Amino acid sequence: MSTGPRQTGGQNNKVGNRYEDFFAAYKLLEGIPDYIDYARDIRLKEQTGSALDDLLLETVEVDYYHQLKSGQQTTWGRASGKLEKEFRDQKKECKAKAKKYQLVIVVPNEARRVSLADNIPHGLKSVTRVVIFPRVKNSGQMARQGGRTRDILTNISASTIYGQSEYQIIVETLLTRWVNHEEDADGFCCLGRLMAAIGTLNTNCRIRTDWPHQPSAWGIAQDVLNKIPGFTWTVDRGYFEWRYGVADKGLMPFPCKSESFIRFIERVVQQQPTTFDDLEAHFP
Amino acid sequence: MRKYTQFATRTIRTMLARLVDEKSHEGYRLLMIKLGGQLGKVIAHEIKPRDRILLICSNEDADFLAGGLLESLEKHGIHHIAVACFWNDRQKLTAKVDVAPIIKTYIEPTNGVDIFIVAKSIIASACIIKTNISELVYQQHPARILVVAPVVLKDARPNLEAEFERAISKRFEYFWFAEDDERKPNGEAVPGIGGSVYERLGIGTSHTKNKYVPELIKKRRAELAKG
Repeated sequence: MSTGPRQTGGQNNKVGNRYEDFFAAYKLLEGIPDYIDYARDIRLKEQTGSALDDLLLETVEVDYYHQLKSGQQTTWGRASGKLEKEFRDQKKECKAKAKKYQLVIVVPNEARRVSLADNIPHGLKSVTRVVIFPRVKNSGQMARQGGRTRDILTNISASTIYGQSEYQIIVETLLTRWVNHEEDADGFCCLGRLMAAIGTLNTNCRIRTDWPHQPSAWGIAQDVLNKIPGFTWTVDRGYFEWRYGVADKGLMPFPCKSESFIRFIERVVQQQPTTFDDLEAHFP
Repeated sequence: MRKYTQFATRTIRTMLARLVDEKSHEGYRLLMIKLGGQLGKVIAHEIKPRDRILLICSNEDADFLAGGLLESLEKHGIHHIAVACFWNDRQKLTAKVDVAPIIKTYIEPTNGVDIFIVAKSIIASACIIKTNISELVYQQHPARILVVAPVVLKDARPNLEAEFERAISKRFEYFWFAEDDERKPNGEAVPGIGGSVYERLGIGTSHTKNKYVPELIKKRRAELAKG
């Protein structure tokens, strides 16, 4: 159920605040680990023209047709069995295609999930799932959800030292990118394109990445950094993350593979700081 | 249009007016320290000497507004104060959505915290303080969160509260001297604090201010290292 009309076109300044927007941002988030680790892309599309048209999630193997029901009154039989008819129509449409598919109802709480899951009509059980996605009012609330959302955020964040603030920026970025996305030739929002766009923004959304081509100066820089008393660091998630003593820590605003980080390495190699105070002067 | 709160004495109103007109960095810094002192005087009555406090500020405020506030609280016999300083970047995702990723932090270890004091030279969208409170509040669980600033922009309070669930937002208490309702196209409050606080303090621009390491932090870091 929509909580407001979706805006289309116009300036790149829309703010996602519908149940559907948060759910789409969640599905993008869910796709990121496999995108980073295995280059598996996904595509999302709203208003597909199918019987279940709230959100189509397309993966290489399976298409997922979502119907979002954020209201409290949804049942299979309500409105002369409208929901059941939509699912049967969708099943018929999907069977005509060769690709695997699944039909999904998304509801905001366990009571609605149980009620719908326990009464899935005959002939739809094998292809239908009922899942919960809670109502949230902003990106912070979504980022604070526990369970799978938190697990994914912990997995993909470039930071191990900052939590909630980093997670919230990731969710906010996905949400904003979703509502302002450029459609591909088939009218989809493509996770791969979205991740590429995020990668071009240096400082606001730090998602773990690789660092395939380390400059030769990095070896010397490591030696310099390792000699600074009380200073520890890691680049395991593709960003330079550090700690000093018991109170100081930080995460570089840009990834290790960026030009900005190469310039930081060069400064460290040239200046050879021997204390944290000296090194701090070379931070961005 | 500016509205003053009950805390804005005649002296404070004069200081706020001088802040806008002040030409030198030194003069501006001194006024910020004094305004911090005045805010400290106001909130000192709200705090028990045994309360464990975490003073949260941005790097640009640490030596000035927050420094004055800290000194004032100590003069009022409040000594259990740890400091958390944040270096935030600032990015616009869209015309309406800002984020403030944390680049660096100095957060003194505490043995429990009763009160957060969140000090900021001006609160407009509340983006930075929302980020910094978010990072700490779910770990440290203070009973009270005192938000203090010389000047805020209208709607700072609802902007801040909208970010958090009621269980957190009900802990907020607000102490400021003036509220402005006018802003320039670049988002700066009018008269506000007379423009970009970084430039007025002489510590750089919004792009370079994160290179500034406050003397307060250097001093406290050195003391912490000594044990």
